[in-house]
Amino acid sequence: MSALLEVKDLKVDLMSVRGIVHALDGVNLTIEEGEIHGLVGESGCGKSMTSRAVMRLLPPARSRISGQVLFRGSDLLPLHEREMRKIRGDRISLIFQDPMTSLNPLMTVGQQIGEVFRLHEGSTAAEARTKTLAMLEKVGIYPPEKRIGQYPHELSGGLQQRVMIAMAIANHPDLLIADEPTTALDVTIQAQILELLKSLQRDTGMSILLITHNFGVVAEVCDRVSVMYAGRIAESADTRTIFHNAAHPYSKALIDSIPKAGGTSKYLETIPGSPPELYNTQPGCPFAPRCAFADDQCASAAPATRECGDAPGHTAACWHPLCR
Amino acid sequence: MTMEQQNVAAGGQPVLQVRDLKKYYPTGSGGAFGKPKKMLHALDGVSFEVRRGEILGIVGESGCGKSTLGRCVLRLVDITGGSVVFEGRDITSLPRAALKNCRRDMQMIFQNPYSSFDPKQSIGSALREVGQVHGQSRQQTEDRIRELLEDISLPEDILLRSPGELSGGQLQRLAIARALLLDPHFIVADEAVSALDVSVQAQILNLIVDLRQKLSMTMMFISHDMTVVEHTCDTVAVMYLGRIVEMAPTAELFANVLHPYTQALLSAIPKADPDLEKQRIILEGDVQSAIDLPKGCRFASRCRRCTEQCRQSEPELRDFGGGHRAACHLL
Repeated sequence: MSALLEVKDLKVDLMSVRGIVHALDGVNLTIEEGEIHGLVGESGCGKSMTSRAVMRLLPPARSRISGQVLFRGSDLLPLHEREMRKIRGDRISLIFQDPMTSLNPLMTVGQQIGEVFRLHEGSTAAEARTKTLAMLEKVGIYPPEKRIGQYPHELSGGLQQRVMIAMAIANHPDLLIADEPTTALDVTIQAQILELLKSLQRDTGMSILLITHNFGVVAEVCDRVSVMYAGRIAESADTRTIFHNAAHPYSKALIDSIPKAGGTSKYLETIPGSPPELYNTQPGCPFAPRCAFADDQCASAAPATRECGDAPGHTAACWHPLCR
Repeated sequence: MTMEQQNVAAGGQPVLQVRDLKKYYPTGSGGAFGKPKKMLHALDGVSFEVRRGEILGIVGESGCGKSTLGRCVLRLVDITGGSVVFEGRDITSLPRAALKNCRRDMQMIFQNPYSSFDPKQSIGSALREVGQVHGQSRQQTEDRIRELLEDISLPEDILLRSPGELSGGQLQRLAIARALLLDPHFIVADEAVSALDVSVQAQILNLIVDLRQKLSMTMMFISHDMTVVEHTCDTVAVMYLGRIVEMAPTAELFANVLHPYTQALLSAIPKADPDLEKQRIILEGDVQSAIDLPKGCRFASRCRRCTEQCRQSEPELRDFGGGHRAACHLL
């Protein structure tokens, strides 16, 4: 495997009414060819910000981006907007949490998916229709001939998300970024969509960056996981290692706070305090004020990301990793 | 076994008895030109009881009627048919004034704490208002607020803050404190932890466990999250399209799932353990519309084991021993 996307020291500052928010503070992330990579963390930790920065969707007037986003070795950040548009929706696609607000309510399903073929491949209307029908079938929307003429409001949430997926994979992207794709859906529908994403990944060999707050989803579909906290990657490892041998105290605490099926204890582990505000960055580790293992070193200097444990590619940004 | 659990096991007094509850909403289409208006069957014959000290979990997917059920048992909406008996009084047709008295004893906690507090009102004022409306003396309210703040481990100066300054977890604790202010006998929590991050969710669930030990709360805990319900509740009722399809004590339900829908629902939950054997039952299609209901079993169109009988007649809840009830022809 080789790296498809390498994010290096990515920093994003946003101008807000209350001052400058350091939304991302040096994110390092590597996504290999053909892997499903999970990006997990709690609200406000910068998961979605990472996807938007990679896609260059942040408003240029109110944001400042530095670092590198290497896609197949070439940096996306200095690209001209015109060149970036060729990458977006073609090499890298993005699907969002709420399909109802991402689809155009005034266009039929066929028009929206067909547009992808017409814009990126220069297909004629008839060609676009044929390709759209094939695409609908591929993402499990039946019967395609009927659905192609329907509007988004005529579809259920699960079907809408399938339409989003069809649009996103229409050009066979190398990377699909799925930002909480099943969070708005019921569990039985979530199971259908996750199954679809997995089988599409197997068939096409694309990589998927799956952004989620749900560790269950991670355990079911991801090959590797990165845990985010306060605009940084706290830990990266393969899925099994994160669950059984987490190095970062934050990853471990987060996993322990999930109610387990068939669990015996009535008390769940909690994390004291709350995540830091991102207006002023403290000198030390951002998790130090809430960490049971923190000492003076943690409070004074931010830990660099280092290899730890035996599992290959297991890295954590911690002075006192739980496994060495 | 805690005292409350013993109470439940010994069959404590029923606090709430719901019989054949129905709630239909007229839908927009039809009506104007003499066509009869179509009805959305949000609840269609729901019966159960909640005993003192029991936490009853209500689970199901969007549109199954679980929130409507919560609203009906507190009579926040009027009921189409059936009865709700709260502590021996039928509240189905109680006049307004009497209902207000009753409401002292029943409270609700909502999903989104940011929208259940007035953004312009300080926390202190929001809490005091509850005592005021229900005619508690000022001193009594103040004392109770201090006590509750201690229970939910928040400092007193939080009373001066406004909701916008607080985190979701802090606000949800305050929402719980507000619900407990008048020492209600019954609480409905509608998706009370769904909007929270897991670490905060864990704090709130622990708080509920603590408070129930201390105050022997009786509660209806509505959630879409099976794992949270399994963790928190004594009894679980699974709903599908306006009906209860299965109901049992929590341990019994999860050890011995009977209804095909519950089986599919449980297997669909992503488990936070990468080593678990995955045997998924993937349900096809979506939930049917609650407007044009089929003649037979409501789950028939998605059920893998559906037979002719299922399409013809609707199954009733039957007892399978040990308080385990399910509505399915095939059992």
